Amino acid sequence: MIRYIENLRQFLDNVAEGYRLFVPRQRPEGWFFEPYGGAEVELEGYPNTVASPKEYLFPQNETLYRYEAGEEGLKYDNETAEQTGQVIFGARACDCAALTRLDKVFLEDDKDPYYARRRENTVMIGLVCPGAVAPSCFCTEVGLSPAGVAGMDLRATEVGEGLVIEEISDRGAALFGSPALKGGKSWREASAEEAAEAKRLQEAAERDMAPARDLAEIELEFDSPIWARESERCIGCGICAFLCPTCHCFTIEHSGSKKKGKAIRTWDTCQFQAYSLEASGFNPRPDREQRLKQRLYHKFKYFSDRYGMLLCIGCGRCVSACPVNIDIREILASFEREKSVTS
Amino acid sequence: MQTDEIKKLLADKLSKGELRAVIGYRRGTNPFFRRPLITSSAEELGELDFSPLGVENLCTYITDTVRKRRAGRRDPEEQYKPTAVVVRGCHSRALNVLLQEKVIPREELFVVGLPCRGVVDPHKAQALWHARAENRDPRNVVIDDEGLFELRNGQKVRLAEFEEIADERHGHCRTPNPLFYDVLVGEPVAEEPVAAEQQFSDVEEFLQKSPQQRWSFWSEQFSRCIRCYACKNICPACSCQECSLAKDTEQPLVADAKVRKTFWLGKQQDPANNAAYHINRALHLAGRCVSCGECERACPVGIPLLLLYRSVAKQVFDNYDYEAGMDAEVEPIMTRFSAEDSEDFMEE
Amino acid sequence: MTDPQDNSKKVAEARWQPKIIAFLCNWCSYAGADLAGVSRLQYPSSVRVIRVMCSGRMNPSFVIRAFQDGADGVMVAGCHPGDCHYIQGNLYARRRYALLAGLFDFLGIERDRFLMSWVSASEGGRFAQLVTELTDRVRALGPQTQLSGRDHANG
Repeated sequence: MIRYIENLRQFLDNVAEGYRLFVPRQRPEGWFFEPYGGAEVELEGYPNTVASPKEYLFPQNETLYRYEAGEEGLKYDNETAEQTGQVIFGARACDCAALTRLDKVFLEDDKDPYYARRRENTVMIGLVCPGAVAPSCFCTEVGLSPAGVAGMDLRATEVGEGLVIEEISDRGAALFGSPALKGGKSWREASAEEAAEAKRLQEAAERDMAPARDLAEIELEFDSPIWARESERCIGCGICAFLCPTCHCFTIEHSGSKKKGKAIRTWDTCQFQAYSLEASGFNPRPDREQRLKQRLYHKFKYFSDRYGMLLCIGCGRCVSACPVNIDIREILASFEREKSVTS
Repeated sequence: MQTDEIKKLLADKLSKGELRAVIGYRRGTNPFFRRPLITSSAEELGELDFSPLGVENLCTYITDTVRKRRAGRRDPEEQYKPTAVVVRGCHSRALNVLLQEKVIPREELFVVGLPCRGVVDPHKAQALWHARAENRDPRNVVIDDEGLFELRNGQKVRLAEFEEIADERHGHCRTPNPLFYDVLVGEPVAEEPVAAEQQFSDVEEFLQKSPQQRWSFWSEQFSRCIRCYACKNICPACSCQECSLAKDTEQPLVADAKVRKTFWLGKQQDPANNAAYHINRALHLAGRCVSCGECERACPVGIPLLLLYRSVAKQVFDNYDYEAGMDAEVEPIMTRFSAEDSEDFMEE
Repeated sequence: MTDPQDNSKKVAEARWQPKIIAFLCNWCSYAGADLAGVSRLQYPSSVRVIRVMCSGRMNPSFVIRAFQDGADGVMVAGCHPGDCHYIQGNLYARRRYALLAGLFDFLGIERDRFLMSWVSASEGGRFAQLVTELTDRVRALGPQTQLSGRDHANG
């Protein structure tokens, strides 16, 4: 069924009755996902959030297990607390597509129980973009769409004063079967006109972002001087990786004492020098040049070689947040130019 | 000297091998600020840009160069060729701090002074663009001394005056003109620096809050920190080869497991660890931070770091009548003491 | 890790005893503390002493880390100016800790939890008095929660 929500506040109130709900809110520092809290959600001028919603499935800090030495020996407790349901409202298509990439890493082969638990209990309500929402958006250049549905459970399109909601997955459909929403107080079936308008807007958004190039076609060159040139100004921080919706590297630290403590998984990044430091003291990527190369290769070659999809989803956060304007679109364009010159 | 002459001078010096590299600003793909240009190629110097969009403190690349040099082989006999660097007033103070601390000798710098009437705040400019532009294509952004414009059908349509996009955090500026230089771009500006006693009105305003309000504010700010270390990495004052606060990210000079065990902070991004990172760093910057504001500009989650570091600068000024980077000849303030230092904070 | 909820429970059960860390310089203040002990002066047993060679050796990071590890109060004591065994170590410390105290003020961190003073080798009574004062202040404030909760990697 295609539904229409006239009163977003009422709908979100209903959702919040049964789920932990996170919505985009504008702060002076930018837009961020925050717990709903009951206040009106203003979507006017909403671009994308500063930080991606990946933290709701892959938190920056996650306790993996706790241990305590007692009289009977070592007690060991996996963090298996029941994960209550959560709904992320207003995630953009790029960020939802990012989840399909994280799914490959965390769910294929050996399942990561921490990610799996959260993923099963999360409903992604994506919000269609009106076109490019930020100066650095380039989702269509990586084969995605501002109205795409990958990784989404429900797709919302702003039509008239409300939203048209389309079911994308079983999990999304099940949300409307939940006690909070079954009654249909805050939604109704969408009219044919409303559904058609949603489709029209989605197609217009795609046309607005017609891609200049297909970044999947670009061949990177390992020994190119481009790497040294572009990495010269890199300051080696973790902004690009930590804001990226698909970056998933982590480290595990133990804290506490021999008697009592825990293991904590935290985000790490290949952009930090110590990341690839080996126990012998050797570091295969000692300079920023190699680390920048690693980043681009992972996003545009290694991951796609293995899983058949680019790891970059074109949200552009790394481009707009980089304090020294390192722009991966530009780097890729340099390789495209190089190739066309030499071929 | 006019900008064309400066570009020619630098190109000449580079070609003759008198300079190792030139560090300046150039156009990038972000229309709201310029990007660093670090080049040893004279041809690229045509790109040099001296507009108010050049906001980065380029001295951080001087610090970087020295750190890399220390980590690699350094021939103590080798004379290093000077590096040219474009500096605004506050950046010249940063250079003074580096000179004071003997991070780099004066002979290895060729200072291109850039008098400054204020720089653009890229975040503000982007927000106003987003709010007021008809067609948000970033290729239509024009920013100059007059303000923010949108190119519509080849015409410049004003969206905001320069004052609206100017970085107001620089209202406390003490050095509109660089304190020293080898060449100066254009003429010194007539802007009056803020009087020393008036420069900390931002900190004074914050101190109106009660202690509970203050902690409520800062604990919320620190809880948003994602420990990306952009603030530290972009800061020119952070020249330590091994940062005690970021051992989880950097390779030690000596691969010694014991050294790596002495962590001051956990890697976890939680309120306590984050607060500790920021408090420790603020103390490390005492008498060294020149209020260039790069830390705050770089912070992806908008923590008001400049205010934090300026609170320490204010203490240093109030107690010791000292401002960071005003004079390269004096000893750094925290390496000194006075018999008359106040004991007001101590228990009787 | 100190969980704020654990803390209020603890205090309620009146089993909570404040943990005070005292960094004392070897030549004056540690000797002063020693004298307090030898003289059988009463002072709260909440204090844990860490001896450093000089107050000038004290890195403000130590104070912050003590709070992170759950200390409810921290004390730094050194020789009186002019008496420092290393001539001027305490004068560097004075400047450093003035900044730390001011920074705590600015951030709204409970200032009363941090105490710095001069204690000479003959001032056993003064040491006992300072510890008592700090303990009383900390007791009134309750368990420290602003900076505690640090989980540090043991490597």
